[in-house]
Amino acid sequence: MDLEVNKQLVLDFWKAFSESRFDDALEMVADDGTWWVPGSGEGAGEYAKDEFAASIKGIGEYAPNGIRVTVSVLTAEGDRVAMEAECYGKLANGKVYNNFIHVLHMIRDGKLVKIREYMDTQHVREVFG
Amino acid sequence: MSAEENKKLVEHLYAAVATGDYGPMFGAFAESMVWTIIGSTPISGVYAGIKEIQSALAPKMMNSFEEVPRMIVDRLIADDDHVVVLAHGEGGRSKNGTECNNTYCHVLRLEDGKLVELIEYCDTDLIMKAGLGQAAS
Repeated sequence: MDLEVNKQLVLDFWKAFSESRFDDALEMVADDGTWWVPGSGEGAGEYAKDEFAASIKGIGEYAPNGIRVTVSVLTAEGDRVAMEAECYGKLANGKVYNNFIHVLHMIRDGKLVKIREYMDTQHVREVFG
Repeated sequence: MSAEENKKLVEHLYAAVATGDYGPMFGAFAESMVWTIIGSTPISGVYAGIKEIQSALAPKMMNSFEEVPRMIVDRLIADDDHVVVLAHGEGGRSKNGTECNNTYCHVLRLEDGKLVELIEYCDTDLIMKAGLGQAAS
Protein backbone atom coordinates (compact mmCIF):
# COMPACT_ATOMS: atom_id res chain seq x y z
CA MET A 1 0.00 0.00 0.00
CA ASP A 2 1.28 3.46 -0.87
CA LEU A 3 2.54 5.32 2.20
CA GLU A 4 0.79 8.51 1.17
CA VAL A 5 -2.50 6.63 0.81
CA ASN A 6 -2.03 5.21 4.30
CA LYS A 7 -1.25 8.67 5.69
CA GLN A 8 -4.35 10.09 4.03
CA LEU A 9 -6.50 7.34 5.57
CA VAL A 10 -5.20 8.33 9.01
CA LEU A 11 -5.85 12.03 8.34
CA ASP A 12 -9.38 11.24 7.08
CA PHE A 13 -10.13 9.10 10.13
CA TRP A 14 -9.11 11.79 12.62
CA LYS A 15 -10.83 14.54 10.63
CA ALA A 16 -14.08 12.60 10.82
CA PHE A 17 -13.46 11.92 14.52
CA SER A 18 -12.78 15.61 15.18
CA GLU A 19 -16.01 16.59 13.42
CA SER A 20 -17.95 14.00 15.45
CA ARG A 21 -18.77 12.10 12.23
CA PHE A 22 -18.23 8.84 14.07
CA ASP A 23 -20.00 6.56 11.59
CA ASP A 24 -17.73 7.91 8.84
CA ALA A 25 -14.68 7.32 11.04
CA LEU A 26 -15.74 3.78 11.94
CA GLU A 27 -16.22 2.97 8.26
CA MET A 28 -12.45 3.33 7.95
CA VAL A 29 -11.84 0.62 10.59
CA ALA A 30 -11.76 -3.09 9.72
CA ASP A 31 -14.41 -5.25 11.38
CA ASP A 32 -11.69 -7.01 13.39
CA GLY A 33 -9.98 -3.74 14.24
CA THR A 34 -8.78 -3.10 17.81
CA TRP A 35 -7.97 0.02 19.84
CA TRP A 36 -5.46 -0.09 22.71
CA VAL A 37 -5.46 2.50 25.48
CA PRO A 38 -2.44 2.61 27.85
CA GLY A 39 -2.29 2.57 31.61
CA SER A 40 -4.11 0.90 34.42
CA GLY A 41 -6.94 3.36 34.97
CA GLU A 42 -10.54 3.11 33.94
CA GLY A 43 -10.66 2.85 30.16
CA ALA A 44 -7.24 1.23 29.79
CA GLY A 45 -7.02 -1.96 27.76
CA GLU A 46 -7.55 -3.30 24.27
CA TYR A 47 -11.01 -3.05 22.75
CA ALA A 48 -12.75 -4.70 19.84
CA LYS A 49 -14.45 -2.52 17.25
CA ASP A 50 -17.96 -2.86 18.66
CA GLU A 51 -16.62 -1.90 22.10
CA PHE A 52 -14.73 1.21 21.07
CA ALA A 53 -17.45 2.19 18.60
CA ALA A 54 -19.84 2.50 21.54
CA SER A 55 -17.29 4.59 23.45
CA ILE A 56 -16.65 6.90 20.54
CA LYS A 57 -20.33 7.44 19.85
CA GLY A 58 -20.74 8.38 23.51
CA ILE A 59 -18.19 11.19 23.37
CA GLY A 60 -20.96 13.80 23.06
CA GLU A 61 -22.15 12.96 26.57
CA TYR A 62 -18.99 14.31 28.20
CA ALA A 63 -17.67 16.54 25.41
CA PRO A 64 -20.74 18.16 23.84
CA ASN A 65 -18.72 19.80 21.06
CA GLY A 66 -16.55 16.73 20.51
CA ILE A 67 -12.79 16.29 20.77
CA ARG A 68 -10.69 18.03 18.14
CA VAL A 69 -7.52 16.16 17.12
CA THR A 70 -4.91 18.30 15.38
CA VAL A 71 -2.25 16.26 13.66
CA SER A 72 1.33 17.58 13.73
CA VAL A 73 3.61 14.83 12.37
CA LEU A 74 3.01 11.57 10.51
CA THR A 75 5.73 8.93 10.19
CA ALA A 76 4.94 6.03 7.87
CA GLU A 77 6.68 2.78 6.97
CA GLY A 78 5.18 -0.35 5.46
CA ASP A 79 1.71 -0.90 6.87
CA ARG A 80 2.22 1.46 9.81
CA VAL A 81 1.53 5.14 10.34
CA ALA A 82 2.67 6.85 13.54
CA MET A 83 0.92 10.11 14.39
CA GLU A 84 1.67 12.93 16.80
CA ALA A 85 -1.29 15.11 17.62
CA GLU A 86 -2.95 17.49 20.08
CA CYS A 87 -6.42 16.76 21.43
CA TYR A 88 -8.69 19.54 22.64
CA GLY A 89 -12.22 19.53 23.93
CA LYS A 90 -14.34 21.44 26.45
CA LEU A 91 -16.00 18.96 28.76
CA ALA A 92 -19.46 18.96 30.24
CA ASN A 93 -17.89 18.91 33.74
CA GLY A 94 -16.31 22.32 33.06
CA LYS A 95 -12.79 21.00 32.57
CA VAL A 96 -10.72 21.12 29.39
CA TYR A 97 -9.23 18.02 27.85
CA ASN A 98 -5.97 19.01 26.20
CA ASN A 99 -3.73 16.03 25.64
CA PHE A 100 -0.69 15.46 23.46
CA ILE A 101 -0.87 12.00 22.01
CA HIS A 102 0.94 9.57 19.81
CA VAL A 103 -1.07 6.99 17.92
CA LEU A 104 0.27 4.01 16.03
CA HIS A 105 -2.02 2.85 13.23
CA MET A 106 -1.68 -0.45 11.42
CA ILE A 107 -3.41 -0.67 8.07
CA ARG A 108 -4.61 -3.62 6.00
CA ASP A 109 -6.45 -3.42 2.69
CA GLY A 110 -7.17 0.27 3.13
CA LYS A 111 -8.67 -0.08 6.61
CA LEU A 112 -7.32 0.54 10.10
CA VAL A 113 -6.76 -2.77 11.91
CA LYS A 114 -4.86 -1.64 15.00
CA ILE A 115 -4.96 1.69 16.79
CA ARG A 116 -2.52 2.04 19.71
CA GLU A 117 -2.76 5.29 21.62
CA TYR A 118 0.03 6.70 23.83
CA MET A 119 -1.00 9.70 25.91
CA ASP A 120 -0.73 11.61 29.16
CA THR A 121 -2.77 9.24 31.32
CA GLN A 122 -2.40 11.46 34.38
CA HIS A 123 -4.20 14.27 32.51
CA VAL A 124 -6.97 11.85 31.57
CA ARG A 125 -7.42 10.94 35.23
CA GLU A 126 -7.42 14.61 36.25
CA VAL A 127 -10.04 15.84 33.80
CA PHE A 128 -12.30 12.80 33.59
CA GLY A 129 -11.90 11.79 37.23
CA MET B 1 21.37 9.70 6.19
CA SER B 2 18.49 7.70 4.75
CA ALA B 3 15.49 6.54 6.77
CA GLU B 4 16.89 3.01 6.67
CA GLU B 5 20.30 4.18 7.97
CA ASN B 6 18.61 6.17 10.73
CA LYS B 7 16.57 3.11 11.67
CA LYS B 8 19.69 0.92 11.88
CA LEU B 9 21.45 3.47 14.07
CA VAL B 10 18.46 3.74 16.42
CA GLU B 11 18.13 -0.05 16.55
CA HIS B 12 21.79 -0.25 17.60
CA LEU B 13 21.38 2.46 20.27
CA TYR B 14 18.30 0.88 21.84
CA ALA B 15 19.86 -2.59 21.77
CA ALA B 16 22.57 -1.17 24.03
CA VAL B 17 19.97 0.56 26.23
CA ALA B 18 18.21 -2.79 26.65
CA THR B 19 21.36 -4.14 28.28
CA GLY B 20 21.66 -1.12 30.57
CA ASP B 21 24.40 0.51 28.51
CA TYR B 22 23.34 4.13 27.90
CA GLY B 23 26.76 5.18 26.57
CA PRO B 24 26.04 4.78 22.85
CA MET B 25 22.70 6.59 23.26
CA PHE B 26 24.22 9.58 25.05
CA GLY B 27 27.09 9.54 22.56
CA ALA B 28 24.64 9.93 19.70
CA PHE B 29 23.02 13.07 21.13
CA ALA B 30 23.69 16.29 19.24
CA GLU B 31 24.83 19.16 21.50
CA SER B 32 21.47 20.79 20.87
CA MET B 33 19.49 17.63 21.66
CA VAL B 34 16.04 18.32 23.16
CA TRP B 35 14.31 15.59 25.18
CA THR B 36 10.65 16.18 26.00
CA ILE B 37 8.63 14.02 28.38
CA ILE B 38 4.90 14.62 28.07
CA GLY B 39 2.61 15.60 30.90
CA SER B 40 2.99 17.42 34.20
CA THR B 41 4.73 14.80 36.34
CA PRO B 42 7.93 15.64 38.26
CA ILE B 43 9.98 14.25 35.39
CA SER B 44 7.88 15.82 32.63
CA GLY B 45 9.29 18.77 30.78
CA VAL B 46 11.59 19.96 28.05
CA TYR B 47 15.28 19.23 28.64
CA ALA B 48 17.34 21.24 26.18
CA GLY B 49 20.95 20.39 25.51
CA ILE B 50 23.16 17.51 26.61
CA LYS B 51 24.19 19.30 29.81
CA GLU B 52 20.60 19.74 30.99
CA ILE B 53 19.73 16.16 30.10
CA GLN B 54 22.71 14.89 32.06
CA SER B 55 22.37 17.23 35.04
CA ALA B 56 18.58 17.49 35.37
CA LEU B 57 16.84 14.56 33.74
CA ALA B 58 19.24 11.65 34.17
CA PRO B 59 19.62 11.97 38.00
CA LYS B 60 15.86 12.35 38.45
CA MET B 61 15.32 9.17 36.51
CA MET B 62 18.12 7.06 37.91
CA ASN B 63 17.61 8.11 41.55
CA SER B 64 13.95 7.07 41.34
CA PHE B 65 14.57 3.39 40.77
CA GLU B 66 15.48 0.49 42.99
CA GLU B 67 15.77 -1.53 39.79
CA VAL B 68 16.07 0.39 36.54
CA PRO B 69 13.76 -1.16 33.91
CA ARG B 70 15.24 -2.58 30.76
CA MET B 71 13.69 -0.90 27.73
CA ILE B 72 12.73 -3.53 25.17
CA VAL B 73 11.91 -2.37 21.65
CA ASP B 74 8.72 -3.75 20.15
CA ARG B 75 8.72 -1.90 16.86
CA LEU B 76 10.57 0.76 14.87
CA ILE B 77 9.06 2.98 12.20
CA ALA B 78 11.32 5.15 10.06
CA ASP B 79 10.36 7.86 7.61
CA ASP B 80 12.65 10.60 6.32
CA ASP B 81 14.41 12.12 9.38
CA HIS B 82 12.08 10.56 11.98
CA VAL B 83 12.27 7.20 13.72
CA VAL B 84 9.48 6.14 16.04
CA VAL B 85 10.38 3.59 18.73
CA LEU B 86 7.62 1.62 20.44
CA ALA B 87 8.90 -0.13 23.54
CA HIS B 88 8.09 -1.47 26.96
CA GLY B 89 9.96 -1.76 30.22
CA GLU B 90 10.85 -4.98 32.05
CA GLY B 91 12.17 -5.63 35.53
CA GLY B 92 11.69 -2.09 36.82
CA ARG B 93 10.89 -1.20 40.42
CA SER B 94 10.81 2.30 41.82
CA LYS B 95 12.07 3.34 45.25
CA ASN B 96 8.52 3.35 46.63
CA GLY B 97 8.27 -0.34 45.72
CA THR B 98 6.02 0.03 42.68
CA GLU B 99 6.64 -2.23 39.72
CA CYS B 100 7.39 0.34 37.08
CA ASN B 101 7.39 -1.10 33.60
CA ASN B 102 6.04 1.58 31.35
CA THR B 103 4.92 1.50 27.74
CA TYR B 104 6.96 3.96 25.71
CA CYS B 105 6.71 5.71 22.43
CA HIS B 106 9.82 7.68 21.53
CA VAL B 107 9.56 9.96 18.53
CA LEU B 108 13.11 10.71 17.41
CA ARG B 109 14.37 13.23 14.91
CA LEU B 110 17.87 12.83 13.51
CA GLU B 111 20.25 15.06 11.65
CA ASP B 112 23.48 13.77 10.12
CA GLY B 113 23.52 10.65 12.25
CA LYS B 114 22.86 12.48 15.54
CA LEU B 115 19.73 12.59 17.65
CA VAL B 116 18.39 16.14 17.84
CA GLU B 117 14.93 15.57 19.31
CA LEU B 118 13.24 12.93 21.42
CA ILE B 119 9.59 13.21 22.47
CA GLU B 120 8.69 10.59 25.04
CA TYR B 121 5.09 9.44 25.35
CA CYS B 122 4.47 7.14 28.30
CA ASP B 123 1.97 6.25 30.99
CA THR B 124 2.23 9.37 33.17
CA ASP B 125 -0.23 7.96 35.67
CA LEU B 126 2.24 5.15 36.35
CA ILE B 127 5.04 7.70 36.79
CA MET B 128 3.01 9.35 39.55
CA LYS B 129 2.16 6.06 41.26
CA ALA B 130 5.80 5.01 41.14
CA GLY B 131 6.93 8.38 42.52
CA LEU B 132 9.45 8.96 39.76
CA GLY B 133 11.28 12.25 40.08
CA GLN B 134 10.29 12.65 43.69
CA ALA B 135 13.21 10.81 45.26
CA ALA B 136 15.71 13.28 43.82
CA SER B 137 13.78 16.42 44.73
